[in-house]
Amino acid sequence: MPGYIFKLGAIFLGLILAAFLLANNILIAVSIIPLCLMAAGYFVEVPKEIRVKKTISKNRARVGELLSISLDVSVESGIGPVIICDVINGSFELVEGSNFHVVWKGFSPKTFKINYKVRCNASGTYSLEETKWRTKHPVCNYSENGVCHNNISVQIVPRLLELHKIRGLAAKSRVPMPQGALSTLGMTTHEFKEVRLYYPGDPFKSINWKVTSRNLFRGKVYPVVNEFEREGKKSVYIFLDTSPTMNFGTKSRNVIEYSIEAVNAFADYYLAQNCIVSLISFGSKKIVVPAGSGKMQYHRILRELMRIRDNTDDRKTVKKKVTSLAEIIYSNREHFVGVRPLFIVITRFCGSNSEALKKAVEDMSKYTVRNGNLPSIMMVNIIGYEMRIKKDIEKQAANLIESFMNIMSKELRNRCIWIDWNPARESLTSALLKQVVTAR
Amino acid sequence: MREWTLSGRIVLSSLAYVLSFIMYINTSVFSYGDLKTSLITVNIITFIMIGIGYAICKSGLTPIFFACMFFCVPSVMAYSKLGSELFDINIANKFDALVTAVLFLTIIAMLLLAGELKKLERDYLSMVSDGADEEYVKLVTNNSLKVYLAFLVGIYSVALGAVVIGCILLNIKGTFLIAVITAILGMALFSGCAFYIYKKWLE
Repeated sequence: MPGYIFKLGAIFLGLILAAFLLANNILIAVSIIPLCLMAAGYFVEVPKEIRVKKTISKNRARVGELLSISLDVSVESGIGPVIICDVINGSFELVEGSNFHVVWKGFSPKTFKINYKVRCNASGTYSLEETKWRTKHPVCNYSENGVCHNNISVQIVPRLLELHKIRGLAAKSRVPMPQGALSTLGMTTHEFKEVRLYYPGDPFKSINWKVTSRNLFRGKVYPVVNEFEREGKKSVYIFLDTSPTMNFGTKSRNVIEYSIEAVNAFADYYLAQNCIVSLISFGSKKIVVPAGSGKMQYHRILRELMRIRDNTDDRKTVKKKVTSLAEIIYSNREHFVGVRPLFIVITRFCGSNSEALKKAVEDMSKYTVRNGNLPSIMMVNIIGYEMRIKKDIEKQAANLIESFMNIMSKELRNRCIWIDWNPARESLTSALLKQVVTAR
Repeated sequence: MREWTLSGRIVLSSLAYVLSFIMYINTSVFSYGDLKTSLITVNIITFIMIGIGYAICKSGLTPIFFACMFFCVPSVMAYSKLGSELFDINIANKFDALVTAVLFLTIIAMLLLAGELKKLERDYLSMVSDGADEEYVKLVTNNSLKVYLAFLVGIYSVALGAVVIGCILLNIKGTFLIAVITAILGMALFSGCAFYIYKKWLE
């Protein structure tokens, strides 16, 4: 705006000086135009006192769910066009309505409503507090900007890809799904797991009387018992790749989001099988969820998974240290000794990480048991080439690269249980089932 | 939207060009042997200059504005009282001062309106591409145009009033000292107003 005022002032001054220097009354009359523009700019106000009240249908939703956002906007003074833009993260997809709205503010105060629906395509916690506005002067060529804040954030949790048990298939799976977990037979420890409803057969001493009495006031009459961790549980270590190679795909369909969903599915499945599950990330983001079991552990893992795409802290650091899987295995080696865990690595195999993965598989083989010919290491390779294709020729190129990667990973495939998952073509269950069929 | 704004801009700038050219050919600056040849030559040269200006500015309005001003300057300068004394400018104009002022103001108003149409068209396209509802954008554009037209009519009337007063005042006989004092007072008044608004607006 100062530039615009300066320009008008300069034009006026130039004209008036020329007019008086030449004693030209036509020029004096013309100099009134910039003067009038300046006066109009000063005395006619742009729309001001803009207030935005935002409401959202849910504060927590799953990936792919629809969210309804509603804005109540009021403009008290001024005259001119008002542009309202509700800022939403790039991971959201506009489904219905628009977050960008234009209205004309006349002489009287104006209130209006903006409604739109979005779908979130990536997990994480998103702030929806900012609503930007811009008002334009009806005559002069300048505008004012501002931001309205509403303390609103939304938690988007990853989709739960359910791993179904396939019955009646006469095949021996190479995927080491713990069928008969020892956990229910083991001795109870002093490590608290969770509280649950009483089942016939539970010892009376395990009843948590405080919680039970509190529940009575809420109308729940069944007693609640304390459950403690049991010895002899099978350990599962999930390693999630967070290196830049995982940022492959589009905003709505990308490898990192599918890898988060895969971790979520595996964590849910193995925790339901009463295993001890731990999540460790490698690559550019450091996330560690120490070993644990039960619903609490699932929520701990879920909370950390939602942090993976939150890059607010990373912007502060200039250079990030990328840790390899082998380094992570080495630093956690004392946890693996004697436990003989199942390792699950979720990554995207490409030329840049092939050697690091080979080294990591070699190291992991030292700490785990052999399930048939192969050690209990499951490598889930998310193939993302098809996520970015638009034309048929690109599909051919994607198939070619995929074949090339298959050749490159041949050595590694023979050293562990290798799962190729192409989310564009199949579900995670289908990818795992394919492995069973291959084993036949 | 684009169709009528583009047509409007073309009509307004063409009219402004024609009016300014009429003003130009009615001055003593436009000396010619053969009228037809001179008209064609001047117009061809101007069109070439406008073309070069368009290639540089990527906009047709700016070079047309300068072309119009170039054509208007001789007829406006013809009514400068101190022009002949200070700068040795001696231009004869077939139109009288009032007609020249009305034509000049009309040309400026037309060019301002053409500029506003261009701005509105640019805003319209940007808002629609940003995802705003087209009906609302049309309403905003129409209202903006109405307000601007009202403003333009207002300033046109004020400027015309000032010209009429100026023409009347020119006929009043006075001393050189009174003329100088009036000029200084007028300049101080105008500049004071502008400075006041400039400072207040910046605050």
